[in-house]
Amino acid sequence: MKQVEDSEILEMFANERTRNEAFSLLVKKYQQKVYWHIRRMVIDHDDADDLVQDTFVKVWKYLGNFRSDSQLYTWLYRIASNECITFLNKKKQKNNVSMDELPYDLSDTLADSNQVSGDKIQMKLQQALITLPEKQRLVFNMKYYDDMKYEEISDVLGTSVGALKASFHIAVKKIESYLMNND
Amino acid sequence: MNENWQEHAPTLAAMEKTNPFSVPDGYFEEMQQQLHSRIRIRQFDDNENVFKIPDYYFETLEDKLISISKLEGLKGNSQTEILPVPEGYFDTLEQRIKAKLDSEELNAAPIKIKRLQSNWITYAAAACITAIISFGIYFNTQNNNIEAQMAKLPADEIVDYLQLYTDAGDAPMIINSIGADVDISEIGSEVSEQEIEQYLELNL
Repeated sequence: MKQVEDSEILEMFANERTRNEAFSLLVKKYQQKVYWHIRRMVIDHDDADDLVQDTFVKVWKYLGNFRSDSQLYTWLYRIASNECITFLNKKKQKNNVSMDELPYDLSDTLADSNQVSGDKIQMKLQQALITLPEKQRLVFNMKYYDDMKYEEISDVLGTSVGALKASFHIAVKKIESYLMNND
Repeated sequence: MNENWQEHAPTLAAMEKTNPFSVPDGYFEEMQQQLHSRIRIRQFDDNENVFKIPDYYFETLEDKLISISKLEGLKGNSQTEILPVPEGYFDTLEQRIKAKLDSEELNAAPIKIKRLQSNWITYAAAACITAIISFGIYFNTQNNNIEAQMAKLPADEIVDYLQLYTDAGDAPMIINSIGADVDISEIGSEVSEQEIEQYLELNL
């Protein structure tokens, strides 16, 4: 199925008569990308579902103000990333969990067999990922899983390319160390 | 640097990029419908608020909240900090009250309760006696007054009265009323025979 171009979506969205259709096309095009970007951060499906919906509701609300100085999907990722960080911070405050203890909280969710279906090595990788700081985990996920360019990641996080490269490098080293040292 | 990250992380590099997370069946198919429903609901939020709020509500809200929080802060101070209570005061309070009550019961004199019902006879008797005495004094006073007034009357007035208002039947009573120290034989000693004859003609 031919994917609709972002420019066409934006044009249709600008027209009140075709706005709903444009939104449907946009959701169809990006829902999985946005979902997995969020799911990898929050682990739990229900949490991810809430945040995905929140993200697209904001897209509906603010797409009219979107300036084409960045790509549509990096704009979507920016909204989704901010939703994830806000959610994880609230989770820490609500459960009175410190930054160091949050990985254990997510680890419990990861251990839930309803949430994961991967093999042991994949589970180990996910365990390693949740030990990373949130922004660093975002960088790794976007680079490793989504294969995004540093410039695009910079658009999403508002961080310089150099800082992102350093962050990714450190993340890789930590994960490798975890995989090597943990059964 | 990062272009050769696989060299620095061979284990990671060897791993297959798979998705370990499970997703409910039909999730993505239903997502569009859910989003549309939610956006339709949001459109009501974007509409003009039907609820009215007082003027300058939001402008004054911050000040109100600060005041409330300050008051709450004062309330939060334990009452004991403001009005200290001796240690163990409430623990022993009940015992001290009971002891005080027991002490007061022993010292209290028996309270006499007057029975009003048994005294009414006494009150009634006293009232009767008072009435009797009062009436006696009153009537005695009245009699003395009459005799004193009578004594002041001139004798000729008394005679004139008797001549006008008495008849032959009153003679014995009048004779009896004359005082004993009066010698009857002397009555009429100063009255002439002519006067006696006139009297007899009028009254017999």
